[in-house]
Amino acid sequence: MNIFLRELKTNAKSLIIWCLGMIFLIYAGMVKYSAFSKTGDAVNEFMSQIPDSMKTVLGIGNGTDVTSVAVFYSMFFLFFMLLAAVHSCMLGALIISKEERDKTADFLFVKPIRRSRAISSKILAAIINIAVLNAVTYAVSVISVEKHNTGSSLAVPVLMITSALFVLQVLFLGVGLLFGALAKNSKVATSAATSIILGTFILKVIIDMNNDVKAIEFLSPFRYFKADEVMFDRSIDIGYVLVSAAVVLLCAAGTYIFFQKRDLRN
Amino acid sequence: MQNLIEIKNLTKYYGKSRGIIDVSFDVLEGEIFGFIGPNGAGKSTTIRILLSLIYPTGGSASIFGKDCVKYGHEIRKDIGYLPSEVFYYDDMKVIDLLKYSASFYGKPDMIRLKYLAEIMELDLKRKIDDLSYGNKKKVGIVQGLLHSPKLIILDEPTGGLDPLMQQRFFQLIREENAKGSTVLFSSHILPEVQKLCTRVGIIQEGRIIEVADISAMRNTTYKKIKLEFKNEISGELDTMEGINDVKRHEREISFLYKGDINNVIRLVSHSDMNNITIEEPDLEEIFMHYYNKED
Amino acid sequence: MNIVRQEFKMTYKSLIYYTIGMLATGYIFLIFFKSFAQDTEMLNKLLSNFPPEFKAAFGFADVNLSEISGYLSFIFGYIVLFGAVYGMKLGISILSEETRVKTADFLLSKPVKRLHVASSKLAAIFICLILQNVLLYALILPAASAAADGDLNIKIYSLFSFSVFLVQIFFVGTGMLISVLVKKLKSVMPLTLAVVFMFFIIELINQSLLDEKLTYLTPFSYFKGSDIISATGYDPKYLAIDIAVFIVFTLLSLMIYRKKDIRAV
Repeated sequence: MNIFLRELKTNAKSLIIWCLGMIFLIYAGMVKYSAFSKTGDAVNEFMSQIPDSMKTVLGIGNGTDVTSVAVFYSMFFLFFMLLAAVHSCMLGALIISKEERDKTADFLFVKPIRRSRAISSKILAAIINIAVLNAVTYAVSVISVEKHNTGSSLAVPVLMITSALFVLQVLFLGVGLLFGALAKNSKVATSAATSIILGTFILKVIIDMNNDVKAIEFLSPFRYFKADEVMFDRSIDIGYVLVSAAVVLLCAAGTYIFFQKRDLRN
Repeated sequence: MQNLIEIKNLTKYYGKSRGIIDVSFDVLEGEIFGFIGPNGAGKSTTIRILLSLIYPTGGSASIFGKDCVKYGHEIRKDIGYLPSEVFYYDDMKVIDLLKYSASFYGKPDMIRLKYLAEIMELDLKRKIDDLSYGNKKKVGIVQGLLHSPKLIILDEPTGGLDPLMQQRFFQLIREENAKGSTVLFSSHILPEVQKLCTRVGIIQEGRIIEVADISAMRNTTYKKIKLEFKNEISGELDTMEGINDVKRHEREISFLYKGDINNVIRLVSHSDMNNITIEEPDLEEIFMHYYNKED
Repeated sequence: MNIVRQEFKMTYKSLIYYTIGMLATGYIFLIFFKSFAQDTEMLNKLLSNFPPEFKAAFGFADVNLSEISGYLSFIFGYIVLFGAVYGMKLGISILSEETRVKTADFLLSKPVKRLHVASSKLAAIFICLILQNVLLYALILPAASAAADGDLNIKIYSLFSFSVFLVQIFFVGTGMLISVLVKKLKSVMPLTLAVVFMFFIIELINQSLLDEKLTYLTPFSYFKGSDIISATGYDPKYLAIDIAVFIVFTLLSLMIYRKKDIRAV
């Protein structure tokens, strides 16, 4: 309990900054939306003239109001994923490796606890952190989206999308934890986290534009959940939830095993 | 007396570079054991294995009869550790850190905390970040002794403490020892060890080269002899066995001697002498002697 | 010179990694060019009479991706992202490195001015960035011209390639300023990625909204592919802002660094 509380406290400040960043992002996006929706009437008019067959080619559902706040908001999912990936992956990498970085390992790990218990407390604290960021994202999204919404309530679609986001947060947290336990210091751990985030993001872009390589989609978490499916069909791809769960379990197990065997530097 | 720490053939390599090789020694319950050796000899490596911060490549170590690798967390309940360099969470206040530390051992004994802080003249309200090196060290001392551990492990503990604080610190250690705590005291400053310890282990380049009682080391092994001749230094000295660490200065000669003292007396009885002194060597000189032996 | 050399020695490894990452990104995208260009041509015909707002909102690029120059602007968008992360990392690192690894007392007690230390480090950064950009230019050029079947406008290619450097110096300046303002900096990468992605996301929003005001905010929008292609040059307004931000932030950082208290170990 003591380590858990201690971790919550040390991470509180950075969590607040992350939440503020997220709030700023949603707010700025919504301000832009109100400007966009005005020019959007012309777009909608144009849309009505396009034959249905062409709409299908373009991947625009029939009768979708392209200027609706829901469609606009679904664009945010990519931004959320990017920010959340950085937050959770770095959080995971640092929460494990920072004791050695700050040379407090000689303090903490001479206490009469198993290393695994320290890890568990830290993981728990990290999950609370990402859950708070997720909850803030949800709450602020619902409030600002509903303000512009003219159709039926969007609370549930937004909940779906932030749930999908949470799966990704946990996934990146797991990867970060494993890096923290494996890397020789926090610098290497955060660099590894950086390359995973950048690498999988580029991979997402490559797959986006080239469907021939869709087979390797599972390698990029940014491709796991598609905003329009999640929001409008209200379906989260269970297959990828399972893939995420499997990766997280493997990473967590690896974290416990490797950290237990680790020689702690001072 | 029982063995509190048992170390058998302990070996640690960091990749290819040497940590310690085949280290074996025991620390008895209730003693203050000095662990001495030059920088990089392997003192900290040994201690960090005892605390299971790092894991041995070979051999074993046990404390309270329990294996350090397997039962690390149980053993550590009764260990207080002061590392050579102290680093703490610098966003915390001293009192918060001490309470946090205490929380791992059950309820903190606030009376004892206040008592220790008072002796070490530690300001509990200050932030760790603003403390000087010496003051951080004091935090380390209080933090290590707070839970009245059965085994106190000190790794070069006096750096940064002023002489007055050193004295108080040694007094504290003696008190704890009198109450029954065993102490493993690692240092490269020999007078300290001489002052405090009953037995010492000497480690050099990763290997234990001697474990002995301090008194035995001084009394039975070596004499520090200084001879001042009236005329020439007797040539027979050069061929005599058991002489070490010879220093000549004009008609004076000083050396460490191990062997039958009568040989020396017989020798000087042939010469005209100005002065003869025979002393117990201090630890430092014995120590230097061990270093030189390897060369 | 000794500081420059030491600084370069400490950082050349990450220079290699980032450069490889950027080259790989460029190559992989170029491999897909031919098949992608064919698919896009059809779509382009379809989209040709759509209003630009519509295309933007749906994420269709404002350049012709079936042509090599349009496609290159898209590729360099991502190379610039990598480069920005690298530039930001360097910027945040240099002035904070010594206090983080506790060598500040060592270096700053030497008989050199702080300004000399800082400018040497800055020089080392520039060596890294120039080296990286020369490598990028030289190594992507043959691949691009192969993908284009020789039909490559070298001038436009050069403009794209050089925009990497221009965006990087923006982030070097910004990173340095952040690093001297933050009281205690423990890890570089989380801050680096957070800030760069923030700017990148603003650019993504801007791509969908085509808002001039947002363009000023993020260097990712300064050297837009469509503008470079149509004008065969940079928009002087944004070029000036970019360089001004670098100079002002750098000078500001140096001034603060000169007077900054160095924390004891």
